[in-house]
Amino acid sequence: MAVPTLLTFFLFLAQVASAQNVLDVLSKNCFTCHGPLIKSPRGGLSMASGESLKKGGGRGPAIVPGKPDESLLYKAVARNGELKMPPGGPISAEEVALLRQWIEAGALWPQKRQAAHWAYRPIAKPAVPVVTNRQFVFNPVDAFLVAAYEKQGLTPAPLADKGTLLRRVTYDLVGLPPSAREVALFLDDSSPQAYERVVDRLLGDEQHGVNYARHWLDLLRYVDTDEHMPAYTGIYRWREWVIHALNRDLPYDQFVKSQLLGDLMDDPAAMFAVGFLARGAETEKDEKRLIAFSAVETATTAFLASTVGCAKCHDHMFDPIRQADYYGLKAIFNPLVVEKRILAGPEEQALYQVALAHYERRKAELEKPLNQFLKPFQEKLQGERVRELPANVQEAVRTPEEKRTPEQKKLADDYAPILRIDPPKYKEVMTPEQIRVYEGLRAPLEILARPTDLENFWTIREDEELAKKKSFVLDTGDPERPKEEVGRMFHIADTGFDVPPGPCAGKRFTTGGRQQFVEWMLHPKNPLFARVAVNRLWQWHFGVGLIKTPSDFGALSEAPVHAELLDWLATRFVESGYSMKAMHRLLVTSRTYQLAASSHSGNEKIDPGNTFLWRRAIRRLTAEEIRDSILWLSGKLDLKLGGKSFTELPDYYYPGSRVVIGNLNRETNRRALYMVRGYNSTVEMMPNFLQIFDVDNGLLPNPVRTQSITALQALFLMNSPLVENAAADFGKRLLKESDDDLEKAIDLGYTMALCRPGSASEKQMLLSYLREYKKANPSLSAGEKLAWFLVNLDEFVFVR
Amino acid sequence: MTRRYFFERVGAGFLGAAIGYLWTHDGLITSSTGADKEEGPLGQIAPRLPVKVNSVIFLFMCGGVSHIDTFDPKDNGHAGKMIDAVGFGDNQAKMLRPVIPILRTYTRYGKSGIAVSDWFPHVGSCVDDIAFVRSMYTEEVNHFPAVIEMVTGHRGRQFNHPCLGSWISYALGAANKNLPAFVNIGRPSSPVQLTGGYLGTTEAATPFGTGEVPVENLRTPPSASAQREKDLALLHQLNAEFREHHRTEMEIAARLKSYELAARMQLSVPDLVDFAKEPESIKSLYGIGEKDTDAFGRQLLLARRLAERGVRFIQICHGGGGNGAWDAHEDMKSHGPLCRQTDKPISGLIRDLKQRGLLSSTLVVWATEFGRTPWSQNTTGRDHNPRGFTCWMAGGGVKGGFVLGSTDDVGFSAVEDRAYVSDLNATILHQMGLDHKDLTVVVNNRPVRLVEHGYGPITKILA
Repeated sequence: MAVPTLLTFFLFLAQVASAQNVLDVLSKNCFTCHGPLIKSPRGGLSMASGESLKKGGGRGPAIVPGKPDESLLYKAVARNGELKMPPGGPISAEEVALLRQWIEAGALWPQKRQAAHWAYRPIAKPAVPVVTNRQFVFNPVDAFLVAAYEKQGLTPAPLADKGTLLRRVTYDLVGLPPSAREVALFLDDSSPQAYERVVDRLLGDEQHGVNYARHWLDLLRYVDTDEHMPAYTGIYRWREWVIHALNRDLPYDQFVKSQLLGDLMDDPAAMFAVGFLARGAETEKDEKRLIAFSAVETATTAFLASTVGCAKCHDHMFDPIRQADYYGLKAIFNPLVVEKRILAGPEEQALYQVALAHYERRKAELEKPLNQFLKPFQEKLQGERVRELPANVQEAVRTPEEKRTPEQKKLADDYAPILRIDPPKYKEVMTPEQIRVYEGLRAPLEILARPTDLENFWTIREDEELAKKKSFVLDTGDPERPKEEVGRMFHIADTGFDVPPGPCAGKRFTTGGRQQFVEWMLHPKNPLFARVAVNRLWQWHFGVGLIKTPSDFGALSEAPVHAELLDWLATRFVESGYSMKAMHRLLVTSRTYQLAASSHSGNEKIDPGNTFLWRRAIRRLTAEEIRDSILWLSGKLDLKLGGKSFTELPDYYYPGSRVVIGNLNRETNRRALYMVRGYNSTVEMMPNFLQIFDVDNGLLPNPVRTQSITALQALFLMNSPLVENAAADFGKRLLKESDDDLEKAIDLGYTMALCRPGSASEKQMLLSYLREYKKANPSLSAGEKLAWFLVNLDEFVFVR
Repeated sequence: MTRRYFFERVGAGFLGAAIGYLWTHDGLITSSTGADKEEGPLGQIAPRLPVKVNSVIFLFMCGGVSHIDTFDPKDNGHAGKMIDAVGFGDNQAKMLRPVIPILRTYTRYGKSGIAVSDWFPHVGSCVDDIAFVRSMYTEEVNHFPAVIEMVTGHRGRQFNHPCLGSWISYALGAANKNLPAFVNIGRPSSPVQLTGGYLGTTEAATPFGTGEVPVENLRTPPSASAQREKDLALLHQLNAEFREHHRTEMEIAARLKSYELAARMQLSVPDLVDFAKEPESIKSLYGIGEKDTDAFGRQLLLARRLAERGVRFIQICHGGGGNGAWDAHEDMKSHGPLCRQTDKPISGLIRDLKQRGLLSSTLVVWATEFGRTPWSQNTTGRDHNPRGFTCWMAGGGVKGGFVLGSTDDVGFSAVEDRAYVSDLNATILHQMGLDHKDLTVVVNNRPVRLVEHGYGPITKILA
């Protein structure tokens, strides 16, 4: 029944794909000289739009739609005319053919079709397809995919065996392997509800929030430190808030809303949610308004999968986002400032005040005689220098600070560095006796310590003065280069998507812009909000999103092969009241989720990329999962929830960043989510372990972790102290729990690490190896060796 | 992995889903084509220009070396005067500042008669192999922004740009399948000097040391060392069934190769860092065994050994940590020991490469993030000077005994043949056979490059 529709649909997709590929080819090979950002393109030819190509440059039109052989662009790249492009050498034959095809088909330019761009169309409510192979359908999710299998001639892989499935779903939902007991219980439970019971148990486990916080915080740029970021002192409380929000299944719209508006909400805990916004401030005063920049870019990336960030410097090249839209939205966040809240109780605060007063009094007492002692030297040294300066500078410097005119103040400030006198300079003009007195006076000041700060959290508030200020479009985002004024507004331009007739559509507001922006974003008719969210949840369960670019749903994103499924899920998500746990449950109980990761020669020919999910894709464990699992197997993993981040690096590793160190702890057995991450331009803050296993530094929102496989990872698993120590503990545990029976220990080890007993041949190989090993090395532990093998197995490092 | 596929992956993930496997990139190629293409280097971009050098040894002095006290002689005509100048660092106002005297004496060396200060007598004796660029400039006025500008070619860090070495690793891959393409020795000024940025962690620097454990986790724990070879053989057998079952997955093939490479490194790296077979005459050339020069000398000898084995980009950072040891605000005398630490080893490296016939195929680059001002901040030291400073290159197809450009007569601004820091990068790429315009990656649908500003390769210094 749906054949004509589907056919049209696929034709449309093919066109979209072709136009996108064309843009890729042009941007790769031509944009350097002819790109939309080039002010004076070579030969006068700009490739900013289809129109500009038709108009052409000095040599006339570059393309004649439908007629490649009359199109200069084609002739130039095919190199069969006088003009040969690009100048550096020919582009591939494939690319030439693509350009020819595209011009033949009418040279459709993506930007011309924005009104129809799929992501901006209202969410459809597709009917669940009726399929022939109903045995493949556990829930409606499967129906969409089975319909695709039938259409494509694919056969789904068989279901994964129970051990594999348990390992898969446990890593997926809590980021840890199941225990031997959990494996036994599940394998013994032959009731039809056995799997669902496991899913419910895992979704109810508080470690679920820890694992999904990792996904979200990659995206929301969580860091413990980012240069001079003031929020570092209590930023972990934002992470804690996220963990708890996920554990109590805070509806997704509320989850987003709290992080953008928490400072205005009644819930006192929501103050911690806006750690998301406070994280953006670069300094306490946030002179560059990085809170606003960060809010615009992170929120639109994370929640709308829109590359609004591109419009920071220019109108978006492909999506309907103008530079003015960027700065209109930024204007909404411009009044935000960070503010420190003391979390300590009144008693503690009073004690702190006493200690602080004492410190300041003592400091003043010590400084007074020192300054008196230095005064004659200062007058001598400075006087000499001042006399060399122009008269007006001399006058400014000599005028007492409080009496200086603004001009004098500036002069005095400018000259302060060259009039400053440092200790070595003083010492040059002192006698040895004077130096002794000087050092004696300085010593107690150097050891006088300021009382330790009270527990605090940097949140945000709207500043009334800033709210009165005008906002501008900024050239390249530079506050020093304002262009035209913008109001607080947000709308995706006219050709853009079906914006609900809400308050935001092109309207300017003086106050409450943030609330209205959030309201607009969360509006059930906003087609991006739910689509983007369910696509992310899908990606986290299946490895790849239904839309493969989870943070870019714009014109250049890949064509949606599973558009109907995506819309059905989005509808379901909204109707369920944005319950993330309900969505997790729906997805992991689908049959598609439970397929084996096995190959099928017929399917490989039709769909080698597994676009239609006829089998499970394997994935490498994340950095966190690897570390957590190794500690878990050793029995040392500390599952305490929340709290500060930890570091394994010694203090000396952070010269000059004691403040950061003071805010970390050494509880190194905690889950790796709590391992310090962030950026500092002088010193690497990220433990090497996180880096070699592909964890980013939080500079940018990261929607997809790379899964590299490198020799440094192999060396880590073979030789690192973490693995060595954990293998010793894990080995002891295996032997103890098997009453020193090596064969039992092998089975137990395989079950704990891989959720299955060892096969006969594996057991036989290991047994003879370990017995010989023990004989040759009586003082060493066969258990430890066994443990080493287990964590170095491919099967351990991959989930299938 | 095809270039096209790589671009898609990079573009797909909003800056950063670069998928990489082994250093040599051959894991993917092998598994996706089924053909064994282990032989030969394999990167993402084939050199299109004549390949002049196989390896670059990039010596980076952290903190900003004073050009007028080392390689850019000036008379003391302005010393003691207050001169009108724009400041840097904390105070960028235009105002009078006190020029302090240059306390160095300069000597002319070699056939070219290029003058070098008494802080670098050994390097001075090599001037006939060196092309000095006395007209470098940069935009940023503080250490980390300037370091980032120099090594990534971009100001600011918001896009997570990769550094020079990562770009080279990305473009050319590794020539030696036992070693990475990009190695760093010594603590850098900034972690940005090691980052693969959006090219991914596989292109990032692999830190090497000259000590007991040259690469992290390289050494097998003592209790397992006797057994490790057998362990790995059994591990391979234990993996066999899983690997057979997932033989179509690229990741699994890559993992097998990652263990092979790890094992090869365990075998080859200890030999690489073992200097026992180096004759005493070579060691003393680098100043190994002398108190001041031992540490840096060892690093440079290791650099030579890495270059011999085909490592493409060997970065050696001197004086990293904090603002950098060369940051002489207080007193220029603090340059003295740093010059002593580096002078003899650097000349030793150039001589050693030359006597082995390697200097023509190895480019030695000496760089720093900026120079220092002629004036002080009322100390006996100098402030940051991004407007004019000196970098130099030796070997690898550059002219010897050559000076390009100059600063004004007080040593403040580059005035003649100005060269932007990216030009240095463009020159390095050029000598490796890469056109800086080819080195492009599409991030977020936007092509980005290492070199986007400046004038391109400094062709005047090329032989």
